[in-house]
Amino acid sequence: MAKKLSGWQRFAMNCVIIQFFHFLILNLKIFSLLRKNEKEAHSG
Amino acid sequence: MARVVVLGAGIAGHTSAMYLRRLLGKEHEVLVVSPNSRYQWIPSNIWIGIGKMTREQTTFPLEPLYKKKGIEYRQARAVTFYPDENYVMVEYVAGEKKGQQEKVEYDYLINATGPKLNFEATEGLYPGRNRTYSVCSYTHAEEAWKALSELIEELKKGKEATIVIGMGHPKATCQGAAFEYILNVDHELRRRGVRDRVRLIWLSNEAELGDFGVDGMLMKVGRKEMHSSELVQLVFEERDIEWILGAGVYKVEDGKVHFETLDGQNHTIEFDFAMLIPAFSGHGFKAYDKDGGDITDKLFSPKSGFMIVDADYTPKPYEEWSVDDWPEKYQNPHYPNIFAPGIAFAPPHTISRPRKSASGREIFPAPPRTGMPSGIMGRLVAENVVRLINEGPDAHLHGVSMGRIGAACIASSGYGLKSGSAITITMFPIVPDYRRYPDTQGRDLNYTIGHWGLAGHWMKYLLHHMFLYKAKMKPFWWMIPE
Ligand SMILES: Cc1cc2nc3c(=O)[nH]c(=O)nc-3n(C[C@H](O)[C@H](O)[C@H](O)COP(=O)(O)OP(=O)(O)OC[C@H]3O[C@@H](n4cnc5c(N)ncnc54)[C@H](O)[C@@H]3O)c2cc1C
Repeated sequence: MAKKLSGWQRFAMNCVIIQFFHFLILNLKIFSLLRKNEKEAHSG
Repeated sequence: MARVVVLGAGIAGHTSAMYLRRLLGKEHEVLVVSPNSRYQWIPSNIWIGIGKMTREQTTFPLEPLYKKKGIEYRQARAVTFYPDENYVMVEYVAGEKKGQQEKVEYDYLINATGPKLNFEATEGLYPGRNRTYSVCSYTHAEEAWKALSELIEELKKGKEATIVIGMGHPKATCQGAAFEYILNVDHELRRRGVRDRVRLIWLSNEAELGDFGVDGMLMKVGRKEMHSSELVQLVFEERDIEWILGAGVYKVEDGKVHFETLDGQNHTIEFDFAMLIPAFSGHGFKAYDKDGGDITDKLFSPKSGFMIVDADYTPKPYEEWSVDDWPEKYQNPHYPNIFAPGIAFAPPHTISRPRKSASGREIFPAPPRTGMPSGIMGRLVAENVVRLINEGPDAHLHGVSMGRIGAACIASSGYGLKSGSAITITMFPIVPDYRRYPDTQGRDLNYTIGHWGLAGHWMKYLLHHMFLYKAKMKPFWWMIPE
């Protein structure tokens, strides 16, 4: 059985300030994946 | 002078055409043949399906763009292939020439015709019939929203309803899109204060939640490791969404869906609204040699109808599958001047474990080829064609398989600058590589992550604008990755 989200997790998911930092991290993660894809496609 | 013909102006074909035009000199011709007059950013159809976006926001007309950029365009569909003589027969679908056929010659052919939405494979399944809908095209998504908004009005008057969302065929794929739609429908029903009157059901051919046609995945969520099945279960439990797994839908009647589950039991659910993704197949193209002999099996897989490329199609059991089975150059082995990027290529096998029900029905997801890899393949193929044109047939061609590229799926779970949310999943590689990543179920956890929250919605919104900017070939479009 999966756990339900805690009150704090639910707050963090919707808090604009916390999510702004998550947005920056997600950008980093996704753009590094895009770059990795590009590197792989040009090295094969 | 060379002539490159691109069939299809979806993510793969349009990306190929853009790069061909950018990289090839003006003496070479790039011609796109596609029945759609507008380019559509398909991932945003979800937002059309809940009334948050219009077709004007997710599509744009192709002809003016192609004219401006020096790309030839025919609003037509490919019908028959003559690979020995390097031409395809196409049939116009609009304008004065509607219904007429024309011979289109090529030096290089890029078949990026994507999937046929094979509604016929499931009895009674067709968008707008029997209360079932689809979000696979913007017109389907518009119909879905019209029906859903009418149902919402009835719910406001006190009606209770059942909504079923998921897979409309035992071997359908694109679970990510249906997952995204169910979460958006849930969000919309809550926003309108009618969620408590609705039983919302996820109906899928996946054996486990979070399989997504890629055999599920271990991922990093924050600092913890979590399986995609746990993440999806958490999301569904939070949202009070029921789920039925291992379900092979075989028939739809007015407000009734019939399916068999992996244990061999047959079931029927009554519903008021359903969005069920159909099976995907090839378009049923035929190919002929110089003497009129049927050589369809040299170009297209008899099983799926998709184009045969440089994959290893030798049948083997799941335990023996490897990333090496997957194609790298998307090039037909019999006709090296023909390529098939995106959904148009025949995969060697599925990614999820094949399963049969007790009665022998095959119930498991077909392999997805999502937008990101389709764009990468489209570009790779274009660059290889440019190498062949500039350096001749011995040019070194680059290759990258789905075992060496990753994908991102941002499943929007609510629209709104402050109230939106999304489940962001990135994975690398798409096809698990158990040799390279033996301890993490075939995936690199530095690039395989899960996130749930408002930030994902912003990310999806940003990508919507970024990829449409790129598709419109606005200044420096080529700096934006696929
Ligand atoms: C609702 C939805 C949401 C999605 N969300 C995401 C997402 O968030 N992220 C993601 O990565 N992927 C997503 N996908 C998947 C993504 O849209 C596909 O992977 C992608 O569109 C595949 O690109 P393609 O070019 O191979 O095929 P398509 O985009 O289907 O393009 C095929 C083209 O071929 C044309 N064509 C068809 N028949 C012929 C013919 N006979 N002759 C010539 N041309 C023809 C079509 O008109 C079309 O232009 C989603 C899919 C759906 C349905």
